[in-house]
Amino acid sequence: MLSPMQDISTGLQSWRLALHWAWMDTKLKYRRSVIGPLWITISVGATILGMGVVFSTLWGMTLGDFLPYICTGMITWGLITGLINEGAVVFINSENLLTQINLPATTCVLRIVFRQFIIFLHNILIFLLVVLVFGVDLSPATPLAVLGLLFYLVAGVWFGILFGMICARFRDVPQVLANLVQLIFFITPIFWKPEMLGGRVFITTYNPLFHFLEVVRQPLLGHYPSAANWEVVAAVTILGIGTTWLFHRHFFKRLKYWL
Amino acid sequence: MAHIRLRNVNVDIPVYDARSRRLISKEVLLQRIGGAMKVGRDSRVVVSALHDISLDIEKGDRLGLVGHNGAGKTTLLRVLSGIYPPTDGTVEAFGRVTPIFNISLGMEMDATGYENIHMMGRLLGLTNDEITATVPDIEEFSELGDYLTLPVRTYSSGMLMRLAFGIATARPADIVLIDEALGAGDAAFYEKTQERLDRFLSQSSLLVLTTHSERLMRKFCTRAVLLHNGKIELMGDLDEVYAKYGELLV
Repeated sequence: MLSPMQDISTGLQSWRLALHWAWMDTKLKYRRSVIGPLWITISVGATILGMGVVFSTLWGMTLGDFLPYICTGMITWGLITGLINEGAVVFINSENLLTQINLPATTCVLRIVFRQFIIFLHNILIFLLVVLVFGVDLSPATPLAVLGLLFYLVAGVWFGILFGMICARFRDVPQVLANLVQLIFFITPIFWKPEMLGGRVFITTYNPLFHFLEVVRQPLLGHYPSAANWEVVAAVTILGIGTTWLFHRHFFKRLKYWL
Repeated sequence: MAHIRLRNVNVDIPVYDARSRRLISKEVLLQRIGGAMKVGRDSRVVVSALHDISLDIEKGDRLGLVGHNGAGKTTLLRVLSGIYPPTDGTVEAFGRVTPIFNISLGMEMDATGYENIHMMGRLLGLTNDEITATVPDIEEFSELGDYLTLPVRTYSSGMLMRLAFGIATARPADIVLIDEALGAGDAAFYEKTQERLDRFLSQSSLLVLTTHSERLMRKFCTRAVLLHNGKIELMGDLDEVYAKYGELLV
């Protein structure tokens, strides 16, 4: 009988199982294809190339200037969206498993988080290609991207647990989240730069996802994320973990009845 | 010492998309089939799947669950396995539980037989080394030979069953809970694999089984619990329980 605390601790301890599972999921998805998981990379790469060419022209920037920017933005945004959308439906999709074997719910969350990171690692190849072709100043700031990704990992877990549960109870919420994320894609500077907003730059400063984006994107481009970026990310993390902890403790026993 | 103890367990399952007003006015209380329905707070329909269940299952017990459709057998198994936390009451379980509700659970059609052995073994809680140790045994029992290197979508349903059964019974378990209703195999299948099942069950400390086949029940169980509308009607030896079951059905 798993108490809320035991579910989280047993779940986290089973990270090897979750990782193996995530890897199998990716492998199996492309089993009968030749290029396999590389298709993920190709499709994202094609989008980046298309948007890069068009928008660099629109903004009057050179490709070498703009492509690394949009590349890092799109790849990182892909990870963020993936974690949000998959996190929302994690328990709904694992209904079969959760009601027939005593698997910790947290293991299911880890599985999808790892899966998203595996996809991200495939997409990083595009960025490496861009670095080779256009040259990006790698600097001592670059390893900070790993720290940023660590925050993503933690966020993926608490978000998946919190919203996974909320969405299991209220089946409209995954749609709400999907639409919100779509909208936020346009108001976040991914294929445009924040300076272009002029007086309206507050649109980006008050967008927490913008700050999450920056702590991975800026280091990859060789720059340091601003203090504000780190502060917002840290604040959201603490708030997120706290809320998830309280919610999970109170409602975990109801989860199986919501599935 | 493996055991499971239940005290005053209630399981109330809310139904979120039922319209309760229509049901109240018709006063539908299904007696023969299904659990008792009631209206919880916020006029939400709630199915009272289990009501005030107290049960002691000790090491060495071979317990059968008998009852009409919807009496609460599967729900009780899920509570025993720790999958469903009860709405009220306590469950105390000691020992590793192997629920066999759907032995094909976790099977991926595009993965090979060997990959599935590995994956499903991990879901059962085995370590890498333990899984590797089970492989020769599963190979021998399933008689699938080279098919194990092919994706399992190429298997017939009989072959799938043999593989799943082989994996589920590869390692002895402390507490085994079998729900036949959810696809662990029909009576004919049990006959075929009887030796392996016998060995598996004899090595386990505790068994709870639900099946509609009286023959199977008599073969594996020594005692039984009769469930009726979510309540324990009777607990005793098989003859007593089946006699009362017969009475209630009339």
